[in-house]
Amino acid sequence: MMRRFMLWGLLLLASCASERSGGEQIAQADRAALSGWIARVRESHAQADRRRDAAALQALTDTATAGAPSGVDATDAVQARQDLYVHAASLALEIGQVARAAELTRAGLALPPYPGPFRAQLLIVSSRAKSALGDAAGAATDRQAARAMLAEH
Amino acid sequence: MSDEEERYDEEELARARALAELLDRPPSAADDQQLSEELAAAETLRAAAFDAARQDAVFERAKARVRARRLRWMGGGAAVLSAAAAAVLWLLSMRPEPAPTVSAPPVSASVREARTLPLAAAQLAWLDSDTPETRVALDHQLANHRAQFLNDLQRRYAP
Repeated sequence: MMRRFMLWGLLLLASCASERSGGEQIAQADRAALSGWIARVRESHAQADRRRDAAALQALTDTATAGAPSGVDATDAVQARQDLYVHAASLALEIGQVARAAELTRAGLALPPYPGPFRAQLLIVSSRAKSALGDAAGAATDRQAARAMLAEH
Repeated sequence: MSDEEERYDEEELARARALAELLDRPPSAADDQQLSEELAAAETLRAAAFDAARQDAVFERAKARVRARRLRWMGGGAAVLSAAAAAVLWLLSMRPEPAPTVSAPPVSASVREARTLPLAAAQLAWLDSDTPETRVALDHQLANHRAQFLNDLQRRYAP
């Protein structure tokens, strides 16, 4: 009888130890994924700050479209992606890829409309791109939308 | 709340009350002198404060109140006065946010606001007038905001 109790106790302890180890592994995996994502976002911005060229533009675009790992708050993820699109579109404008800039701002503005400063900046860059493309009415609409958003917040 | 945070909060509230009293008085050379001293004191407090975001919030609020008071006596009108009063009331009700204890605590609204204000001002300036100066200022504030945002993500998700 005593031996049976000891056996059950050992099995219970082993089960608990196994669950704890699994939980730690998941937490570590999450932490690694989050660190990796933040590092990638940072590096994409840094690369674009160092080199204003098509390769840096592609890195920013790839990171923006890849999205954030699970565990990141939806608002944080949206803001990070908005900013990546802001930087990418600004760079595209700077290197003369105006149509690409307009396309990137459209992608950024298609994200859930979290009304922060990065969304306002997307509208500003969009207005610059539309102005460069000769769409004065569209540019004015974007500027008005940016102004309204900033006035509200 | 730590002793340091409590002391910081008390000093901040005392300064807000002093500024509220100043705003209710007609302008004088002595008041202007006191406002300058308040601004200098806020800057000192900012340098000694424990949290970078709160440092910036306190400093920006102090500057905003000084600007609001000057505008008021230059004929800014009731709107500016009420905005200044709202800023003072907001400051009086402000309390420090609890220190983060989990991997991704939310950023407080006041910290978000404090970080957003300079960028929003630069964006509005650019919208008002697209010049090389406003564009440079906007780029500068955007880079600052981006760095703060990324540091904040790092602190909360992968410290």
